[in-house]
Amino acid sequence: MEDSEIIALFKEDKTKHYGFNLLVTKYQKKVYWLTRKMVVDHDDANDLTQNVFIKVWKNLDRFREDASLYTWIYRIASNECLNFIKKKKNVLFIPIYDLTKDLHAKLDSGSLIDGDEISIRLQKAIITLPDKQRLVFNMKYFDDLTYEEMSKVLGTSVGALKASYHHAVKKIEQHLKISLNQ
Amino acid sequence: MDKKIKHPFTTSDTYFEDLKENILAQTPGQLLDQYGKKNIYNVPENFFEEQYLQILNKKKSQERDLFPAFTAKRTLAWVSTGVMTVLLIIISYSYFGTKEINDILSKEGAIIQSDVTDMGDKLTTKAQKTDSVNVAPSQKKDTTKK
Repeated sequence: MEDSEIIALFKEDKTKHYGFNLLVTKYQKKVYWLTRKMVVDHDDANDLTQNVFIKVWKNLDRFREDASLYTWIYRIASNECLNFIKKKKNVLFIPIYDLTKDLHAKLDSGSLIDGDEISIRLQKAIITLPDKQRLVFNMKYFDDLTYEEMSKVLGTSVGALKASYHHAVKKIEQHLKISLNQ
Repeated sequence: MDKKIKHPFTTSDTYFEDLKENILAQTPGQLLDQYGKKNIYNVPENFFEEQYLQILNKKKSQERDLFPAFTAKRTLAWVSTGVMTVLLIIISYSYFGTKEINDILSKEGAIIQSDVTDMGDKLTTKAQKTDSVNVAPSQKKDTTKK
């Protein structure tokens, strides 16, 4: 079903829940995988996904359809992820939490993670990227978003996104090189 | 360079040797292209089917939290906090108010007392002067007889 039809259903009181159900069904996997790749842990990703859709419920009435529903939901999801990571990193404004170390440990623990050695090494390399660069890399590499779509989601210029992605790939390659030589 | 790494679940005796050989044979970029998009994350069974209900439940509980007065425990908490606050305000006002009034009264009292004392002194002096002037003739010493 088209996004405009889903929005129309949502805006009618009688069909609001039906429209919301269709919307969740259409986008839940995309949102979940975006958040899961950012936070690694399934429960955290589930929590974030729920928060994203609650925000969608609260704000969809005010959605002006300037952007597509897809990029709007992606923007909410991206902000949720970045805020979540920021909160985890800074406890009482003190940066005492090593996120990279924690995410690596989660990858090693193997809870709901099923990959061979190389795939896990690659994920570990991706995790070492700065948060926003990681988000850019994931969107481009895993979700196949165009730079224009990413620009709408993240509010960053296409040029800056291209540079960010290029640097991300170089960093991952460098990290893998070191990791494989060990 | 073109060697493909076998899937880990079709393990052969030389799987790990092959794996190591393949890792070293390829550049990191090639590895990234070959393995990067493989999803290593799993989800619990029926997770996506059940997630819609989880979202609805969370939404309901958040909406309920917007009106905490409807829940008994929270109502009690709000009421007791309110009562404590009011008591604290009354105690503070009564304490500071009394103190202030006492201060004012003691200052005023001291001024009034000193005024009264001054006035008393003046009256005494005046009375003494008046007494010395208005002595009765019978009480006056007769100095002329001698």
